[in-house]
Amino acid sequence: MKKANLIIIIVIYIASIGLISFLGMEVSVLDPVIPVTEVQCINEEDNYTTIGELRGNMLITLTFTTAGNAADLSGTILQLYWRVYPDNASNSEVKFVYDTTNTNVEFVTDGDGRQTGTILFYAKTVIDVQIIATDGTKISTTVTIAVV
Amino acid sequence: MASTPFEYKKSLITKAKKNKQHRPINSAFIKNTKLLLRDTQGLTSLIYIVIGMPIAILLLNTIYDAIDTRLIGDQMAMMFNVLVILLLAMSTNIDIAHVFSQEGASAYLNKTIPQPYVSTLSTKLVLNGVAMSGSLAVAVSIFVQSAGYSSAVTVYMFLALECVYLSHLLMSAELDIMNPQNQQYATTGEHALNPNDVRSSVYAYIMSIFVAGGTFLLATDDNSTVWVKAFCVCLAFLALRVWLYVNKVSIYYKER
Repeated sequence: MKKANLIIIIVIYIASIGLISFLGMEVSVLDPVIPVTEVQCINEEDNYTTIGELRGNMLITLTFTTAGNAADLSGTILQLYWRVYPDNASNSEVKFVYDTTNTNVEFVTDGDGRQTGTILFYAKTVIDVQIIATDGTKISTTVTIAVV
Repeated sequence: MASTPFEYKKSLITKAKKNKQHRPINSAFIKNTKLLLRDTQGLTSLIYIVIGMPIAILLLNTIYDAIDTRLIGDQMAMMFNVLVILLLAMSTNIDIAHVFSQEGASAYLNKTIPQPYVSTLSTKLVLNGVAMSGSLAVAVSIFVQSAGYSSAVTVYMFLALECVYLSHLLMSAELDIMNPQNQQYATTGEHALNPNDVRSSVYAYIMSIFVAGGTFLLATDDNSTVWVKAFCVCLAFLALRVWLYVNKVSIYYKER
């Protein structure tokens, strides 16, 4: 075999490895961002609350007894439960948007200042709470809470 | 003295061999085999490729297996396997492009054998063809085992590549028959820029690229029948080359 042919075959041999590595490799996205597609409030009826619907939103009705207390979580309080879809969303954190001028309502926050979904009621009131995903998609659901 | 004179102390070991009568075609085959075995350069080149090709394919597929390829990557791997196998196999045929001329002034003896020229001349191609066919079968088996194809694909793939290899073998022989370089070999014993060698090399590249590219395109279309289609095309091409070879031998070897 002539040297030129041998060199060409060796070049093709090595180039094939490079080409397959470059063009033929399996594409795998490392740590992909999975956005939130839906937020649902999943509170259910119990002895203290009833679930209904108002203007297409979930309506949670509860009876006012005494003012809610943040120290021992006593009085009229409501714990909101929610679910973020898909379950493997990159950022499943939510925040609660409500009428902050309503002084009859207070949202409990943890040591880091994050809202836990626990609401204290100091008097009878009606309030709309919007549960919004914080991953930038602004996907949300609105819950109307009536304390009667 | 330290040296030994060779003039009169030569060991003369002579064994009288009984002269056997062979059939003309066997006789031509034995003569051509002996000529090949005495051609150290040609024989070494052939042995290197016969042994080296399966090893090269094994190494290549070991590297490919280490790459996490998708479908197009698998098809590219098949294409490059075919390309490398054919290039290595056909590179041995470049020596066939001067196999008749290499005999120099004694090439005319081929015309004295009272047999059809085709059978006499073809005996020069047999040893090369058989050795490379064996190597080709091993190389294809290694590739198929690595790629995980079925046994039917192995057979069709081998037959397709064998047809391409044999076609190029006959093309290279035709080049020497149509454009003999006997004068050059008779004068100097070698031909550094034999035009037949160059043409044979070019044909090898063109055919390898065409077959590898063709199978790649067929594989992207329908992977299951690619080697059946390739075999049919290659078989038709081989039939054409055999017909042309027989015709050209009968035309160019006619005594003028």
